[in-house]
Formats: sequence, C-alpha cells, structure tokens
Amino acid sequence: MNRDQINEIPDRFPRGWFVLGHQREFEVNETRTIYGFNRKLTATRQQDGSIKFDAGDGESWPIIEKNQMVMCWHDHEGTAPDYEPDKIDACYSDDWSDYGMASFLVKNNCRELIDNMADKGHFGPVHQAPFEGFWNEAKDHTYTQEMTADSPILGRDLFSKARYEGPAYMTTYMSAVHDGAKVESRLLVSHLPLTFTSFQINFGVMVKKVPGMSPEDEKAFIQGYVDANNFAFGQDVAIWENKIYIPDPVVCDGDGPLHKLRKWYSQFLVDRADMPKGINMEKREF
Amino acid sequence: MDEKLIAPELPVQKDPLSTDFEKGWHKVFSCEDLEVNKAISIDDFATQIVVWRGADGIVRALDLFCKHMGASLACGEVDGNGIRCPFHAWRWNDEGNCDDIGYANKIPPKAKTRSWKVKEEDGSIMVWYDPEEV
Repeated sequence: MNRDQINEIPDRFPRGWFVLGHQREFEVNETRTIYGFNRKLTATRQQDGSIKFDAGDGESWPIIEKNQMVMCWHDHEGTAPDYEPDKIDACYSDDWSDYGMASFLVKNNCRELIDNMADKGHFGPVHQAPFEGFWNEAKDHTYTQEMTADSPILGRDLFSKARYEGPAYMTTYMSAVHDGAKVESRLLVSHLPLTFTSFQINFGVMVKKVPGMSPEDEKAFIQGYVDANNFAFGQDVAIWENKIYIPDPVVCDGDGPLHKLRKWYSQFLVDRADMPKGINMEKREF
Repeated sequence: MDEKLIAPELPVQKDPLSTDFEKGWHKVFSCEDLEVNKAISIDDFATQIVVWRGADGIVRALDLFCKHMGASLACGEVDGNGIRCPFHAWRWNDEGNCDDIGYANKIPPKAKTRSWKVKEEDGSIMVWYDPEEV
C-alpha cells in the first residue's frame, strides 16, 4: 500500500472527560438530548441538583460539574476516570465574568484539532498571527503550549498558556495590552465527537472584570472575543474540512514537535494496558 | 438508538494504481475555465489532483493534498509558477519539489510530491496517466 493513502480513522473515540455544555444550560427537571460518540445521550438535572446521565445501551457514564461545565467521562474500555481537570479559581470568582459560549460543527475526525498545539508553523499563514516565543510541554494526561506575540490585532505583549487535560478539554489563560490597558482572558476549547468523521467544538470566553466597566460593556467585550475566536476557528475549519491525515509528516526545522504531540494523544486511543511509553516531554522552546 | 447520526465522508487521495484508468491523455477541464493564477481540484482522474495556471500561462498538476500536513493545495494560492499550500505556505513547483518554506532554514530533502504531465489541446486540459510511471 502506498504510504500517502494511509488515512485510517481511529477505531474508537478517545478516553477522557468531554464537555457537554455550560452548567446554566442544564435546568432542573429538564432533559437535554446531546449527540455524541455515535450515540444519543440524555442528561437530566434532577430536583436535588444532581445530573442523571444516560449514554444509551443501558450505560451510565461518570459525570462531573467543574469550572462551570458539565462533563462526561468516556472510555472505550469502560474503566473509571484516572484524572480530573484542575479547578480554575477564576471560574468561581466574582472578579471574572462567566463563560460566554459558542459552538460549531467540523466535518473531520476530532484528532485534527489537536495538531494545533504543536503546529507552530500554521499561525502565520492561517491566522496571520506571527509570534515570538513558542514552548511545548507534555506530562501524563496534560499537554501545554505557551506563546508570546506582539500583534496589532491580537494585542501587544500577548502571552498565552493553553493546556489540554485529556484529549478534549483545553483551557487557556491569555493576557494582552489593548489601548495601553492589560486585559486578561480565559478560553475554553472543548469538543465532543459526534461520529468518527465529525465533531462539535464548544468554546467559551471569560474576561477579568475591569474596574468601572459597566455590565453592558463587559458583555460587548466578551462578545467581541467570542466573535474573534469564531473567526479564527473559521480559518482552521476551512483547512480541516479539506485535508487528509498524514500519519507520518515530513517536517522541517521550523515545525513544532508534531510527532511528540501525536504520540501523547495516542495514549487516549488505546487500552490503558497498551499506553505508549515516553509520552512526557520537558518544557522546551521551539 | 432511534436516530442514526450521519458520518460525513472525508477527503481521500486515491491510489492511482488501484483505478481502472487507461494509459493515455485524459481530459480533466476546459482551458478557458482556468484563468492565469487560478487553481482547481480534480476528483475524477486516477487520483485527486490540483491543476493550476501559473503566471506564465502554463498549466501544471500535482497530487491534490500537501505531503506535509495534508491540506488541499487547491485551497492555496498560485505563486509565480508554483502553488503555495494554505496551511503552512509551503510552495511546490511543477516537478513536485517544495522550493520555499517561509519559516524554515532548510527545506527537507524528503519534501517531494507526485507531479503529473499536462497539455492543452483543442480547448481541453489533458493529464497523462501511465501506470508504469506512477
């Protein structure tokens, strides 16, 4: 078989926590139907506040509410969770807004989203966003990307730290200077696979409240960030929906650690007993 | 489950040896519909290809998907007589060699893709297929 036609899709959905939606979308005595993992899932907020989750086929998967999100645990093997996303204090603080949320559908396997973490080379051509520093670190179920940039669009003195906890839950802390004032924000980039060739991105934006800013201005500000992110994802989606998967890419000296990242991600696509060795990578600049 | 989710089909780069295409020139497009500095993707050839008309007016063809990270070159831009991938802006020439990467010091020697012979005749863009040459 020719090397370049190997484009096999994983035989399972990854193991980990998956965001089903913002807590406020789950109201008491209401049952929400959510499509994911090739199934019809239902979640009901009960009178006592807990959520009853039905994954179909008589299965009920673990569920948690954390950092304003309702998440379910998916594991092809059916084993119990071995990690939980860290608590983000800003999600429980009056100094920060709540998450503004948006979502959209992408027609490809959900692994496509992950490459971005190590894909240093795409920021310029796809997002017109050149950067200065770029670091990656892999540790167990987490993968971290740090970036510094100075951009007229994204902001001056931009710093961002994005971290995956598991295969589908990424949170980012970002600070930038706009019009001479420091702005701090947090992004959530989560996704839910619908089928093996489609997934839904659920993303959220929250900002640190600026003293003196009215609730209306704050809302408009968050919406501005949501729109900007929607625009940036649109640029990615145009690529994602018109590409094949290259399992072993020929990389150049300017590329990030794509092979390392894919190895890290592969741990979620196999049984625990078959998890690859050597997935960790000390923090390094690329 | 009472409703079935529909799984979209993904793009593929077919193996040109596993088709029933015959050796010879195959019409893929009409000349007048491909302007200078434009690229199109062709799906009904022995494999998926990108066809573009360079700044010099000459038509060229390569495998559709970039050998780096798999994006469709037809979504990219014609740059001079080559084609630049929309994903990482690698530029490919008509011999199938990558000849420019803006963010790299050195072009990897393995950065090569498959090129296809093209001619224009009687208003048609024709691409040569020979299983022995693939």
